This record gives sequence, structure tokens and C-alpha cells, in this order.
Amino acid sequence: MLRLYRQEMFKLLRHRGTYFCLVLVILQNIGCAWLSDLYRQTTRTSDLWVANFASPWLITVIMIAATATTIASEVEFNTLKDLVTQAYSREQVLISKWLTMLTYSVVLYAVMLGTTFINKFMWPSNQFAVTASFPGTPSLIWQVWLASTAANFMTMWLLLSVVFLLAVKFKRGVTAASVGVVGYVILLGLSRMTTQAVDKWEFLKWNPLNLLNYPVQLITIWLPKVTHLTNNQMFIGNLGYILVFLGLGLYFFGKREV
Amino acid sequence: MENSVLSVRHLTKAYGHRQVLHNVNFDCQRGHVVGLVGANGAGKTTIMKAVLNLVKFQGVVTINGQRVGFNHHRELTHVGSLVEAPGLYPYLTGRANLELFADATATQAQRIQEVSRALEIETVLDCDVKTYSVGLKQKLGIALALVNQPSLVILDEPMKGLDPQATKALRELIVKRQAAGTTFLISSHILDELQRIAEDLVVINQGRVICNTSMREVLAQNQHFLVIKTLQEDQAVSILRIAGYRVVARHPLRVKLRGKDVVAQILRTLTDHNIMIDDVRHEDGDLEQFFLHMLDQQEAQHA
Repeated sequence: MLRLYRQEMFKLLRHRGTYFCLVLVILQNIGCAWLSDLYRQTTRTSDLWVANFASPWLITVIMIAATATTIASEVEFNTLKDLVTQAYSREQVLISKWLTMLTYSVVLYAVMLGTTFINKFMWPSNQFAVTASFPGTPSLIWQVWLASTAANFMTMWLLLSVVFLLAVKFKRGVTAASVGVVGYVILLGLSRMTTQAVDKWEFLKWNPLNLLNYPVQLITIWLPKVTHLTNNQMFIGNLGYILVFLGLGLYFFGKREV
Repeated sequence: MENSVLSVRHLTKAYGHRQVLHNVNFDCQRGHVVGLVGANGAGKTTIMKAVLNLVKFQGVVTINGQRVGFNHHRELTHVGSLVEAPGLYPYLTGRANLELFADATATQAQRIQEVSRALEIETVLDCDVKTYSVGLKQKLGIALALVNQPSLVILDEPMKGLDPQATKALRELIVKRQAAGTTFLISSHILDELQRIAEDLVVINQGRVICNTSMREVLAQNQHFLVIKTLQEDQAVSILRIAGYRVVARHPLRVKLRGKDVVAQILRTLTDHNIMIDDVRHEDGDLEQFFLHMLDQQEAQHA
């Protein structure tokens, strides 16, 4: 199993795109911080800082593409045979891919957090105290920053668990990545729209799209009235769906003929 | 069988309602090269895929005495394979592809060097695979199958896309590994190549084993001919037929050698009648002839 994980990491580290995406996240984060400093009169920079200058959105797109590709490209390159004819089960092959994508996402988030933190000292408009209260919440700015980052990470994995489930069906990396990213944009739009449906039918509050509102809810004190879920319920719901989707992906991948 | 590295028993496989393998049984003895021969769509690749647990199947496949199943195949550690097209990562170099799947032991670099030298891909090993030709990819795919020095190697059409020089290099490598105790299961449509290296033969037709024999027996069963070159062919044919020999072709003159026929007597019969002989050579039936004969027999049975 450790060997499979090493193999996956070997492939990831030898892929130029891996480093390109890391640099892209840093540039996007710094670029947004620079823009927020440029338009400091019209933006509340602490809000943008807490939101990591929108980098979680970019990382989600990167991770959807990487996740879709990690399975579909094995079919495209005919290398799935090489993986499953080793001494490991198909389930172990897929779990090694989960762990690799988890590692990559943790690294991307760490780079994002580090860059956001450095931005705090780079731009004059970011000279607010992180120990001050975050407007509209009882929490401090640094607490909201870390909590919303963690929530973003979790909802990203809710999406990735679906991508892992769907990617089993794709045969080309580019197709899988494109469908994943477009699907993500559509889902984001739908997640805002489902709030109306939740108002009408209470049971719909547990739909996965509603759970994508988790990071926003942490910094918007009135949002639970719209989503009909507490922060704890959001956490449990996200975790539950991640496990269900990953489990289903494991089941289907385990039955796959090559 | 005790000395069997691979044992296939009652192997059956269907894709939907289409039955592609019917009760397939055969063994691969340790240190033997086994040729798997059949027409396109006969089921050769499906057999290999079943042995490698790439597809689900009914029946029993045993490798080194251990039964393997769809998702339980620890014994595949001792198996190297190339089935259909080689599976390679185009963004990695040839060396990186080999490093990825080569066991990380102290001898890893040595094994990579040895197999790449034998297959003559050393000079391109540090280039990205996306720049490789079809033949180079095929060689790298074979190198991947051999790099861990497995006890059983399964190769599906390994000579596909290889030039004569590379084919020779592969043949020599297979013979060398076989001498060291490696067992090979090889399917190929290039029957004269298979004839040179295979000791055992499994012939498949429409998903069934129609013949399971040794190459020696195959060649022994085949017919032998004497091909005679002369400018007096018509005259020679008449003389030989009157003398009781079986002439099967006129241009060039081909005489079927039966057990009692002696070459010297045939030639003397001709020279006694003042026939000038320019050249004489033996011609033996080969694997191709045997294979086509087997298929003809099958068709005749079903007709």
C-alpha cells in the first residue's frame, strides 16, 4: 500500500503541472491582495484576507482537474493495467490516489495560508489586527480565517469525493477535468438557488448542494436561517456525504474490469 | 501439476451474453516458453487478462500454486506482463517509467540497466516517452514486464512494431531468461518467431483449446518435402510418378517424403533417366502449416 502511495506521489511530483499550479496559487493570492490594496477605499481588506483572497476557489478548480485526471489518464495512457496487475487490490489502488490528492490539497492549502499570511505584512491596507473581532461575528479575525479555511477545505473534498466517483466512468483526462470544472461552476450556482427550495421543503436542507454553503455560513451569522442547518450539522453533513461518495467510488472501482 | 508455474482450469468468460472462453485448461511448466496461438478474436488476450485478473472470470487460475482472484492476487508480484498496448506515462522519461514499477531494492538501477541494454533502449532512456516511436514504446513495455525478473512473464504480441534487429534482441533475451528459469506465456501472430522460441503450444479457436502439445510434436507431425530444381520438370514428374513417388507440385518440383522414401534413391531415379539436377533442398512443414491445418480440421468438423 505504501508502495502504491509512493508511486502516485512519484507521478505527481514528476508532472510539471503540479508546480505550475503551486506558482499559480501564489501569484493569484498576491495579485488579489495587490488589487485589494489598490481599491482599499471600496473593499474591506480583512474580509478578503479571511477569505484567503479567493484562492480556495482556484484550488478547488485545480483539485477537481487533478482528481479527474488522476483516474481518467490511467485509462487514457493504458496504465491502469500496470497498477492493478501489481499485488494490490483495486480498492488499494484507489485509496492510494485519495491519499495522494489529500497530500496535494494539503500542500496547496498550506501554500495558500502561508501566502495569505505574508500578504498581511506586504500591503499597507492589510495592517489590521488579527486579534480584533471579525465584523458581524463573535469570533476574532484569525479564528474566522482558520475556521473558514477549514470549512472551504471540507466542502472542496465534498466535491472531490463526487469527482472520484464520476471519474471512474471517464476515459480521457482532459474530458474528465473539463466536465469536473464546468460541473463545479454549475453546482456553485445551484447551491445558492436551493436555499429557496429548502424554505419550502425542510428535508431538502440535507442535500449536498446546501452543504456547500458551509464556509460562507461561518462568516455570515444570519445564514443558518436560510440553510436551516447549524454549523455542527453542516460539518457532520459534509463529512457524511464525503464518506458516502468515496465509499461508492470505491465500490464501483473495485468491480472495474480493465 | 507439481512443476507448473501457471495452471488454468475450467476458465470461462462471457462479455454480456457473448461467451468468449469455454472451459479453457492448460499449464505452463517452470522454465518453459509456451506459445498461445489463435486467430484474431479467438480469446488469447482474454485468457491473458483473466490470468492477470484484469477481467472477472469463472474457473481456477493458480500461479506458483496459489489461487488468484479478481481482487486477491498477491502472487502477481511474481508476474510481469505486456497485454495489448504498453501502458506508459508519456510525461515521464523511459527511465522514470521503469523506476516507477521496478522493485526498490539495491539492484534496481542494475536491473534497469540490464534490461534496457538487452532491448537496446539505453540511449533513449532519459527522453520523455511522448517522443518515442511505436517500436520504442513496445520495447519499453517489454522492459517493464521483465525489469523485476519475475518467474512468469506474459507477453501479448511482443514482436508487434519491432524491427528485425529488435525482434532478434528480444528473442535472445527471452532465451536467456528462460535458461535462468523464467516461464513465458507468449501470444503472437508471427508464427515463425514463436516456432523458434516456444517449447509448448496451446492453440485456441473460438474460445476453446483445440490443441495443447509440445513444439517438438507439432514439427514431428508435419510433412517433409524434397524440392528439386531442374529444367526438365515435366519429364522428371512423369519419371518420379512411375517410380511410385508422390509429387505434390510441379513448379518447383516438390516430392512429399514418406517414411519409406530415401532421398538418394529419388535423386538416382532421376539421374538414371538423364535428368540434370540444378539444386536440391529439404522443406519441412512449420508451425504456420500446423496451425492452418488445425483450423481447417475444426472448420471441417463444424461443417
